[in-house]
This record gives sequence, C-alpha cells and structure tokens, in this order.
Amino acid sequence: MLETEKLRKADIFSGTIISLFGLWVVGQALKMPMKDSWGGVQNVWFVSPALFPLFVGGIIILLGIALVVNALKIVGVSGLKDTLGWLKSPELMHFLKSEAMIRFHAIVVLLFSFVFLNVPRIDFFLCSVLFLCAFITMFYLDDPSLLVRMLGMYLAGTVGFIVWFLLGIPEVMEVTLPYSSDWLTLVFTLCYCLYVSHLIRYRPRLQKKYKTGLIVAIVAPFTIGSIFKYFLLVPMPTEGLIVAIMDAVRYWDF
Amino acid sequence: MNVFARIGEFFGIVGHLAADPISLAVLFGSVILGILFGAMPGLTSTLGVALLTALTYGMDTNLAMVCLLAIYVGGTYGGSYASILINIPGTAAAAATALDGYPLACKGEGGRAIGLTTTASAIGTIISMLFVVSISPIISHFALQFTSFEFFLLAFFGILISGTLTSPDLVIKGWIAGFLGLFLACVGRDLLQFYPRFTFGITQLDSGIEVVPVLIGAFGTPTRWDI
Repeated sequence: MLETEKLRKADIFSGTIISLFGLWVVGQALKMPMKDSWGGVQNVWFVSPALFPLFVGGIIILLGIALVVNALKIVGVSGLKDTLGWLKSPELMHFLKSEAMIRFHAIVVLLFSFVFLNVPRIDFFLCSVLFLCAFITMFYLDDPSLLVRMLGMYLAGTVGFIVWFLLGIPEVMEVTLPYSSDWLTLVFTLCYCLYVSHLIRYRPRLQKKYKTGLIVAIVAPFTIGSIFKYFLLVPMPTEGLIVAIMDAVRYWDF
Repeated sequence: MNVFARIGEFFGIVGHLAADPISLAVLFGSVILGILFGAMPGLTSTLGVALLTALTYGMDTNLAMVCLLAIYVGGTYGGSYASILINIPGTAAAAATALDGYPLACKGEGGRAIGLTTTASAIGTIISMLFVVSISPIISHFALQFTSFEFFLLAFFGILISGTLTSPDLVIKGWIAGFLGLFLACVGRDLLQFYPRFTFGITQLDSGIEVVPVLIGAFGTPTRWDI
C-alpha cells in the first residue's frame, strides 16, 4: 500500500476524532454564560467567555470534516470500508502492541504517575530520582524487550502506590513510622534498580549505560534541587524524608 | 536629544561599564548563570531574573541592572542549547531553533549549530539594543497602535502560516494544530469576566496553561516515541 494512501486512511480516523473533539469544545462552550448574569454582572454576547471557545470549536469541527472529506476523495468509499475493517482485524492488536505504542504508554504512565501521584505526596528528591531512574533506564537503554519488562515493574509499583494512598496507610503509619511513603519510595526505587541490573547482567554495553543513567538520575535532582532549596530559597512541592535530612545537615548548629 | 546623541550616550555608558572589571565579572557570571537557566527545559529567562533578583539586593543599581539584563539575555539564548541538543526548547523563544538545530545535531554538527545560534543571538542582541537606544519613541508609538484587532489578526496569521511551516503532509493539519493551540489558550479564567473555562474545577488550571510546559511536552514526547 502506498504511504500516501495509508496516511489518508489514517486521516479518516484522526479527522473524525478531531471533529468529535470540536463538538465537545462547542458543547462545553454552550454551558458558559452567553447573555445571562455571571458574578452579578449582566452579560452581553460579544464579551461572553463562550464566544472564543465557540469560534475555536467550530473551526476545529470544520477542519476535521475537511480532513475526512479530503481523505475520502483520495481513497474513496472502499478505503473507508478498509479502514473500518481494520478496526475489527488482528492488525489493530498488533498496532496496539507495537514498539511505538509501548513507548507512548511508558511516557503516559511515567508522566502521569510523577505529576499526579508522586509529586503531591512523596518527597520531591525521592520521587524525582525514581522518575529519572525509570525514564532513563526505559529509554536510554533502548531495548524494546527490556522496556516492556521495566514498564511492567514500574506499573506494578505505581498500582501499589495508588492502593497505598487510597487506603490512607500513610496517615495510619504516621505515628509509628514517620515519612512512611518516602521509605516505601526508597525501597521501591532500590528494587527497581536491582531488577534492571538483574535484567542486564550479561550485557556489558547496557551496564555501562545503566551506570551513567543512574549517576545522572541521582546527581541531577540533588544538585538542582539543593540550589533551589538552599540557595534560591524555593520550597520543594513536597518536603519529606530527604529534605528533613538535608535540613538537619544544613542547619546543624556546629 | 537626536538619535546620534542617544547612541553616543549609550556607548559612553557601555564603555564606562566595560572599563570596570567588577562590572565585567558580574556581566560574564550572570550571562553564564542565565545560560544555565535557559538551557534547562522549564526554567525560563523570566524565572531566572525573578529568582536571582535576591542576589542583586546588595549591589549598586547600575551593577544590579547589568546583572539582571545579563541573566535575561543569557537565559533567552540558553534555551537554544536544549533545542539543538535534545530537541526540547528550553524557552519559548528557542522553539524555532529546534526545527533546524536538532536535525543538524543528529548529523553530528551540533557544535556548528550552537556556534550559528550564538552568532545569530549576539548579532540580534546588538541590533535590538541599538534599536531600543535609537528609535524607542517610534517603536513605542507603533506598539501602542496594536490593539485587540491587530493581536487577533497576528494570531490568525500565525495559525495560517503554521499550515505550511509545520505540516509536511497537508496544510490543513498545520491549521488543526494551530487551532488546538488556541483551544489550549482558552483553558483558564476568562480575562473579562473571570469565568473558569475548561478547568474542570482544578484550581491549578485557573491561570491557564503556560507556554513552556506545552512546548516541552509537544517537542519532547514525540522524540521519545520516535527513537
């Protein structure tokens, strides 16, 4: 199949999704005050907060439709049938398991867990080291089979953290073991690193890369974080075990 | 004061500052600090100036201005390092550098790309300084003529050219990307009535989405997919 034809068939999907997204934007904009009162102020349509999103949403719908129409002109109705048939074929599963998709999943899992799960709850230095360790080992080692295993390990840990926080264990353990979430992160980071080193034990080239990655993952957050915390006096998003230790050293009354 | 007198006075002040070794040391140190800030994706020149203002409290006013301006200029230029070497613009100003600089770096000519951007930045900075000194009144008069209509048209022009600039396949895809960008700009509190748009009750989204995180995400994540 020609590359252009493939692209046009993919355009049918993307155009439809974009049009639906535009519809959602317009739907949300219609819920905004158009001419009714907001915050005690009587509204007029030309200063309505809905005006610009309506314009943007409308154009996105039109552009999405134009993309689909253009694609249909080239591949025809048979192309549309092929595209719909692809959705039911085993090729879809093959695509979802492709290397590029696994990379995409890895990025999504890493970023979401770092931003929404770890940064608000775990000591910034610890969660940065964990994030960098996982990110660098997954992508710098550049081996698809290893990526799947490392992603599996990281995902298992992330699920564990979600359960840990959902059950409210840190609050329960606060009295007996302060910074329990930070200790858990430390243990998980060590386990993750040991698992990766176990995976690459017979591959010297990767071991060298792994060591470099590990140094960067530890040195970078501690260097930059320390400059921000103690030189520029910027507080960390969450200050826990490591910040407490660093504070004790920094403000030690010699 | 005519244009030549203003330029003469400017060079007089520059000469006076250059003759002072402390000013020169502060200038070089601040530029290096600014470059470090700019080179780190996510840290912008504005943030650098804001954070390092505390360092200038003990300085003389002229020296403090030299320090802050040098951090700002260094920060703006430093963004090109990350653009060229890892395809992630350190600052919004360096977004275009990534388009040409990163392919050069992939060919093993990263040093040449950095050299080119350094030269271009230096020439641009000198020309802009001369413009500010000589024709500031004309520029400010012209800037004040820019109202909402002109800003809208400028943004519209930006989206139109993004069709041909960003998408090698179909022009329409570039336009879609432009309008998706405009949608992201809608997120946050409306400026006129302070109505929360597309914030889903998340207070962190009230101030909108900053350009730099979007740039880092938009440039950085596709690089990870491709390798």
